[in-house]
Amino acid sequence: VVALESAYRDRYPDLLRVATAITGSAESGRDAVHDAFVDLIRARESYRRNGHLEAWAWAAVVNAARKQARRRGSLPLKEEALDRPSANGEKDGRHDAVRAAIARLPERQRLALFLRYYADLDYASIAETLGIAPGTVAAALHAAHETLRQTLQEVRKND
Amino acid sequence: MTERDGDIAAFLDEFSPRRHEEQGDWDRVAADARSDRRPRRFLAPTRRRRAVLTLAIIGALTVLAVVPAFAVSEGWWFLGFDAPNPTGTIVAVINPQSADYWALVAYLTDHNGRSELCYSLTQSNESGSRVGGCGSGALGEPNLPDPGATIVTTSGVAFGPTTLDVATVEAELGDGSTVQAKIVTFPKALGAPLRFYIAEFPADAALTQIVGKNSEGQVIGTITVPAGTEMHQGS
Repeated sequence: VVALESAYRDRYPDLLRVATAITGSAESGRDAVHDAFVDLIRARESYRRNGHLEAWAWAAVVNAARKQARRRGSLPLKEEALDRPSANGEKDGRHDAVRAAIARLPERQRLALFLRYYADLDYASIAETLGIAPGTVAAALHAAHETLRQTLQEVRKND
Repeated sequence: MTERDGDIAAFLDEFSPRRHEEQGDWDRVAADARSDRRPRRFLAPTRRRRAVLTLAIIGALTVLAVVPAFAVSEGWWFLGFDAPNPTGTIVAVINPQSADYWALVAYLTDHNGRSELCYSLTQSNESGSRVGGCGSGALGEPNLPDPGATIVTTSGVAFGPTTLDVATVEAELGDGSTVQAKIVTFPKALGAPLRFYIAEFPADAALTQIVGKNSEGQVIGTITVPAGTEMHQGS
């Protein structure tokens, strides 16, 4: 429990950020982080000592956030989701286009992207969190980068 | 390691900003973990769920919750939803005849170290015809049919688990008539020696009693449905 508390306190803003990105709302993100750590404490005896506790915690948060996203009954990252105004308070076409591109990414790519950028996890940790091979993480991130770069280029061309 | 793309990083920063000021509430996490206060929220009805559910649960012995039906794929919707993880084999018994289609899906799960039975009945892909839940009272009770594990829908179906010594189940209606229930024996792979009964009756009829009998016709379990049992209609 001490290690879980330490992970929670040290990483809370990042945990919340990832959960918010997955669920599409900060409120659901907070719920997801809360639920995940409640479950982690309750299930701490099942923690495998040969695994990394942080990856175990990230996996719980990602799964709780995915559940929250399903519970919301909509795909995450919808227009109303992040209750985040654009920088100038007006609708931002570039923002919308990239947001839509993220929403269209396959889930694995999207999760890998969030864990890489928001949690700053390395490939091995992302792989352990998502239960996939590190090579798959690399491929997923590469594909996500390609898609988002293309979208950004198109948006700039249209500006 | 692939470098982080600066443009993408800038956008993602904007997309979901880091909330430096938020530190969470560990004390509440720890308190909730110690208590059993937090409901199993995957089963908690939301407005959307209430809208598609038309069912009632009778009895109080089992903590039996209701699972919604919007993740639809015939009998497998129950597994598609964020239901508890199975600890054993998932078993299904399906009657594929379109005129009388039904599917029972069941498996064991663990909830705070206690074994629970999750089960669902699907009769079609229409709203209100798919119900299910999880509960511990369905296991280990000697006098089943277990009232707490019985689900009665407003569309005129009662179903639930029984022990193997229950050979027949009858549903008694308010007008004095009785309806014979189907009895389904699950494969041993379920890991619990159980049968299920499915009793269908007119939706506008009042269900008063469910009676389980052994192979010699002796009554070995009875559920009396309280008059005015609350029926949870869609909102």
